[in-house]
Amino acid sequence: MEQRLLETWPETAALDPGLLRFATSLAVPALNEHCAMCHGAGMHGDKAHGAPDLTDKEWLFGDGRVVDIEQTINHGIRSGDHRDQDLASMPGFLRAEPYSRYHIASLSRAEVADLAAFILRLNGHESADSPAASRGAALFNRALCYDCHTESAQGDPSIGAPSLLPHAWLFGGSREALVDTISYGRAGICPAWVGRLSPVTIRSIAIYLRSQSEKS
Amino acid sequence: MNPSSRVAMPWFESGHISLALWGAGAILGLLAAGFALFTAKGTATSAVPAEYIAVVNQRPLYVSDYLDALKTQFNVTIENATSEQRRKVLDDMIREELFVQRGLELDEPGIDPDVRNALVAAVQAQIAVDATSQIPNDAELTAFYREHLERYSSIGYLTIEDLVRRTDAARAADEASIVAAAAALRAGQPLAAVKTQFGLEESGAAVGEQVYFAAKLHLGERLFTAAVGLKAGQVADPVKGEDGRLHLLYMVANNPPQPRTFALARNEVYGDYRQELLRRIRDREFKYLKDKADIRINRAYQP
Repeated sequence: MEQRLLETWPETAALDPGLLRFATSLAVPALNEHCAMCHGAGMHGDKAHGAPDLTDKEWLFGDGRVVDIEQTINHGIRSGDHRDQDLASMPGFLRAEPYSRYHIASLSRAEVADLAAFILRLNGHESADSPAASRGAALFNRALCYDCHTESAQGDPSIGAPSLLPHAWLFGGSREALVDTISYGRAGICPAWVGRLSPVTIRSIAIYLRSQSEKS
Repeated sequence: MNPSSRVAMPWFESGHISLALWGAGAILGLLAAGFALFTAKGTATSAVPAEYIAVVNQRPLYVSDYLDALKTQFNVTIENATSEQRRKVLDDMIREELFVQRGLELDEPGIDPDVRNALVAAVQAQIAVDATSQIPNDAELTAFYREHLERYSSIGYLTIEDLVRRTDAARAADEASIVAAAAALRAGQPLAAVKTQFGLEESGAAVGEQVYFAAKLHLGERLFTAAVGLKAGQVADPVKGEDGRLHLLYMVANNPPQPRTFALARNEVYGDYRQELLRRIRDREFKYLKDKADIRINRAYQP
């Protein structure tokens, strides 16, 4: 069965009830042993850890295909593996040097508050005519936020930039959490499991998570 | 049995038969080995484990790398890839593997600085992967957070009046009057009145609310050091700035850095913890390698 699981094209394997059952039998114990510490027992994520829900339809990296999930499990996020997901991270705009990779200008506390107000407005939690949100909208371009989150603020799964529109916030979507994120930055980490878990276990986890995502 | 037939075929005796079979077996074996040796092309597709796309001189090429390469090079998945795209990616991977193997045969790591740097980077990256896979629990992270509380403080910010002698008025203050102005402010006289009375104006270096690092940048080290300990409404003793002028610093509002809660800073704590762990593992790895290595240094070049 292991051989069949590996030989079947991953997206097809996820649709085969027999293979899915087999994948589930391998994936669940492995997830409990290795992933529950950050993602929680039911893989529903943990905002305190910035660990995403792995059972919903939102995927930070890639579009949720089995091969995308497998890529992340194999090589991790900012794991140090040479194929990891590490093209960008969230700058800390209140810091003297907000970003380590290239120069970005710092923002004042008032500007950070304006940006937070703009994001809250995108999520329907700030009035449409809020002056702070309007200033934040202008800052969104000036502070280069669009460079990662895109001009429409929908995010970019190729670099793991989350959507700023209504969605499941990784670190919480309250004003306080947003201000903290913009002020001090974020850079989540996921280990690389290639070489630590067998290829069939990794494939099984990817297939199982895909199936859970489909169900949600 | 006819005795004459025994004389006609002496080789048919049992000892001779076994010798002949031995010889025939050896010849067949040599033929089979020779055939396999001289006809092998190294690209057979049989007996390749499912997780490998190919095995090149006993070195596996992973399916996952093949799929990544298809996506990176052509932005296609395997179902959508044309046979040309598949062949190109597979050929590239085999070519790379063969060249790597040849590079090792030629001892490229021993002679090429770029290869050596790449190897060092690869070993360090592998150590990083090891460090990342050791996921700390919250108790370990909290202990690290407490040890390095200053790292996880909020950014301090202040609003300050940085006053100097007026340059555009007849009644520009002298040094003595700046000292007197400080005393007047401490006595509770309003700021505006003191500015007028003693001929002072804002230097313009730090206008409005400033985060600490910006205030330090704008005021200079000496003035910032004099200012940062002041509470709102307090005045520093006049201090000579890096511009050579005497400055009177009046703190309007001062919000020093406050520790951010562990919950808010957890993500940063995790990143820093990992960096620290990484540094320790790298040091340990270096020490281990050094301890077991036979290193002899030329006396003439002893540091």
